[in-house]
Amino acid sequence: MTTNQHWYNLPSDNKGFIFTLDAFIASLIFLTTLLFTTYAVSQAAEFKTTNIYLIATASDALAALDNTNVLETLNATLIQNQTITTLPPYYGYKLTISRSSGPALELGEEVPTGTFIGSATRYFKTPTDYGQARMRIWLKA
Amino acid sequence: MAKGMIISILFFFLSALLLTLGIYVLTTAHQTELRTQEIGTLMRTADLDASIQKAIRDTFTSSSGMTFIVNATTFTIIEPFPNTNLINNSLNALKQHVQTTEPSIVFNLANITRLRLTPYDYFYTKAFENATLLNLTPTSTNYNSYTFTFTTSNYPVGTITFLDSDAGSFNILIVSKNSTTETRSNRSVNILTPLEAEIAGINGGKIEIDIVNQSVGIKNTLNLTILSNISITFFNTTAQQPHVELSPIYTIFFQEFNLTKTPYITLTT
Repeated sequence: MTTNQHWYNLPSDNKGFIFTLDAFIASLIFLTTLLFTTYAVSQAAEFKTTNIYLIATASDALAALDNTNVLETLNATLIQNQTITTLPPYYGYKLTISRSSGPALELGEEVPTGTFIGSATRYFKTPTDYGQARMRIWLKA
Repeated sequence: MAKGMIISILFFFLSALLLTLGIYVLTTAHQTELRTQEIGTLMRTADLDASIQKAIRDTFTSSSGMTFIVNATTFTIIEPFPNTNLINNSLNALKQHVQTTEPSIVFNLANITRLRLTPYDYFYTKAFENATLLNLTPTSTNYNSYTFTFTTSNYPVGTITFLDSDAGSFNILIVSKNSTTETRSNRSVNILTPLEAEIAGINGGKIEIDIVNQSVGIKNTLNLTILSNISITFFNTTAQQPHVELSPIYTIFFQEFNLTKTPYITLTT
């Protein structure tokens, strides 16, 4: 093969190289696309479902506190015990209660970073004013 | 050469197909994320709605002075008349608290005196804010009797007089009583024609009952608070659980999903 020879004039015994290169590039594109699609499918199918489940669990836990009238007692120990009983042990939680004319209340652990936090909010009546409770939960590592 | 070209073209189409699949999966992932956000917003809306309804229900229980007795066909509503309980202040405090912490909710307390008896679609307008007029507004003729009972502690029980009524099959019973005495008068009337009745008081004061086009107006000019007990009996035409609702007083609106909810508020379960 001379240096000024065009690729399409390659001798027939070198054409296999082009074919192999072509097949290699095609395989590369194929594999990249396959990996990308697999990743995208796993993200779409699993991650989001877990998020919804976390939000639903936060909502249910808070509803349980509200509907059993535990929330309106503003009794930190009672609320904490009820929350621990309601939530599965592998969940971390933080419950923040603010009031229209009373002191705020914070229960639970510090909210971690880098993980999805499911949250729910409810309003409720206390014996003297109104409150807003915000439950944030996450999966413990 | 032709064979290699065919293989190259096949690979090209295979790659194009996979790329299309990749784009499709990306679009699906994006749509899934949108649906997730929508589900999250719906759950948030349901939480906010359910909890505010419960807060309003609790407020009514503690601050309205009203009692509701509901069974399959009979609704009984008992309240002071005029009702001087300051439920407006309580609901206004709830409004302020919610609106300052949740911008997607807007309250309008104009309808807090309007109750709906469900599923009969019958409206009872309360006598809050010292109002001496109480209204009952049916939307159809699916009811067959009224019992109006007015109780005072030691005010003289007056005579009950039907001033104007046509005979029919609708039963009206009016009861006036104090702690020791009771007087009652009942009549079968045509509810579709005007009716007027009154309970005499002293110094020209009285309780007046006027029915025009089925709409009932009850006026208290006795210059004292009485206990009003009104029972309405309906024809049993539905299997739906009867309950008392408050007309909508708030709207939940999430602009990003054009989601609006302006619910009736269940006061009895």
